[in-house]
Amino acid sequence: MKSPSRRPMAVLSTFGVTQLHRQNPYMVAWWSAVFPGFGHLLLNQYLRGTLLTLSEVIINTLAHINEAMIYSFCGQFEQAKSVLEPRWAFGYLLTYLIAIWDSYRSSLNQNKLFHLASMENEPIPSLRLFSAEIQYVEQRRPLTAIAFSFLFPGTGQLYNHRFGLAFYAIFWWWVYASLSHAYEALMYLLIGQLSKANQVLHPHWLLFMPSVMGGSVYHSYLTTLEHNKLFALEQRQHLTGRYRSSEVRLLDGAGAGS
Amino acid sequence: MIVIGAFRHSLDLEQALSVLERSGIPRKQLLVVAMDGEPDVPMPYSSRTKDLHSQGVELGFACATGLAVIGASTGFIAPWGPILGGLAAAILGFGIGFGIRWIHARRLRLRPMPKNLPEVTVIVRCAEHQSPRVLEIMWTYNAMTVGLADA
Repeated sequence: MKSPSRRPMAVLSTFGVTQLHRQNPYMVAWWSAVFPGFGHLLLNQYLRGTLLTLSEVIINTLAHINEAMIYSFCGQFEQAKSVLEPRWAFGYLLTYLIAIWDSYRSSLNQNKLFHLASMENEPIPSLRLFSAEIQYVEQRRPLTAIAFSFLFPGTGQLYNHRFGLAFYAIFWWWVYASLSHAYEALMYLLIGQLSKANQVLHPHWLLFMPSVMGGSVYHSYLTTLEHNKLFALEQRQHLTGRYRSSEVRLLDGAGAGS
Repeated sequence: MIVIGAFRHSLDLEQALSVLERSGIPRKQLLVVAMDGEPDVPMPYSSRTKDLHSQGVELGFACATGLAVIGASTGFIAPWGPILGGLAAAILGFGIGFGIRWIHARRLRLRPMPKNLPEVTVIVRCAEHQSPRVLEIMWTYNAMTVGLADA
């Protein structure tokens, strides 16, 4: 092994590929606004992203943010006011905005670090074996990642070998689906009993689901694209080194000097 | 003889090169050129030449998720209910996001990058009797195009 580089572009660990890549700061800020923590997950800051999502679910539930949102979107402002818990709502608001701010700021800095890392051009790892896992940089189809995450959020992350996040997301999707009774409602919808479908739904837990599904689809899609770029870059590094001493000359003899 | 093959970045490409080397083509008779699909873009994020298609998809997801929350919420007082409301709003949102990017791109007269451009060119110098084998290996490992020159 060579000495570790100062600014590596990617590492392989048991948990998958962790990489610097070019971030769109507006998209990162937007996903933080959709679900605090999602912006940090896009920045490959998986642990703090996970902790932020946990605190989002807990504090949102205590403050009744989702119920207040539903009442507000429906124009029932008096009910929105009465359902909110001031004890939790103010702190929720502050941490919500700070999560957006912090992810936006980090994305700007990660872009600079990525720029420096790509100029350093240190060798990118391509395959590592661990006692419990095999992790490698692989090419994948973005559409497959989208389809997996759309059918069951978290499975797109599994497709990208990010299994820790995958099972975390799968677990929470089960929690949302069972507490909101979304699958029962879907069944009633499919057999045409619309009013029954609406009756069984639990609004607080249902309202997490569009954000989580959207975030999971976007994260798996973006990760697939970035892994594909990393694969191409690693292969380019490897081939450039391996065929450096090529003696192929397309014009030889007298033609070469002209 | 000169054999030229164009490939995508893939494991097949490395298989092709390894098999060529094991079939008696010395490494120094191989020239491998990585190709760029666009000029080197400047670093700031706002590069316009980037893949328009994926930018549209990204904006589509962002709008779809935002509208889905609103659609699901308002669905609680609408006759069609929150699930249909959320799904319809998501589809509408994706269309809006994708459409905005598309219209924007047309205004700027940007063209999406053609898909499936070759990314790596492999040039092999070999003796005449080796060339059929070289061609066969390239085709076996999914070369996009292969050419032979009597040079």
